[in-house]
Amino acid sequence: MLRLLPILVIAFATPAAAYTLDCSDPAGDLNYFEIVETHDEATGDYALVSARFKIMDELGYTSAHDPSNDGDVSFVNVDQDTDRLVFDMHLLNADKGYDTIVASVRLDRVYEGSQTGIGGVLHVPAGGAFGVACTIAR
Amino acid sequence: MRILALAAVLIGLTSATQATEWIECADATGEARLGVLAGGLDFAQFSRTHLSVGVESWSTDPSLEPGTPLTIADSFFGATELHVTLTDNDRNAVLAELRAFVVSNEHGDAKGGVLTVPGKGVWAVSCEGP
Repeated sequence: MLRLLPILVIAFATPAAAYTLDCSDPAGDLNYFEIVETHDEATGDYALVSARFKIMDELGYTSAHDPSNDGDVSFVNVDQDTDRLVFDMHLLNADKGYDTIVASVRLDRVYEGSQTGIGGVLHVPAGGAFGVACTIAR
Repeated sequence: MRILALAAVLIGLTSATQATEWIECADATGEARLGVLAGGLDFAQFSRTHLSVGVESWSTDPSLEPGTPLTIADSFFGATELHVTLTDNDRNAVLAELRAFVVSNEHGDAKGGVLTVPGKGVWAVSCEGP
């Protein structure tokens, strides 16, 4: 049992690994669309860390307070597991009266052997709808 | 007059149900591609399909789209999701599965998801079509 103890300690001490999903659309209308999430392989849990996107050099948001956001952007309606990554980005600025969903992300993910396929759509009510394919960039 | 109006409506409905368009889904490199011929109201009925991975191809109608025969075992095309499951003609083995999300607004629409071909690979795909 004592021999196993170091292994158990290491296993429980290992933090959930964070990685970036780098997503793009075939037409190239997205300047960037990145999602950072963590996956704890011990528990299987996923967690959203951040997300940001920009469309055609004009409209974009990051999931934090940022001057370019014109308010605070947070995650709502998160549904995140092995099969899918779904969330909305909510913009709030009480002074300017912003209280709205600025983006909806709907991604499927499939693991097939050593391959991972992650794809879906980015819906920006003020900017358009985009089919996207994502790759994992660690 | 009412009969004429009813006839016009019926003719319109008949025309709508006869329209068909291909929904084509492919990865960025074009290595994997799946097409389904959609028709009926809201294009929710799929009558033909073709699948290709590299140089291999499959088709529900090899006389029109060359390839090994396959069958559309299950499909769903709604306002938010598009699902297609393809099997061999005996329905013994799943040859491919498409799981995609659908969104639309006044700026346009988009479909994207993942195409899985068991034993061959998995690809993130974007789709064009109705």
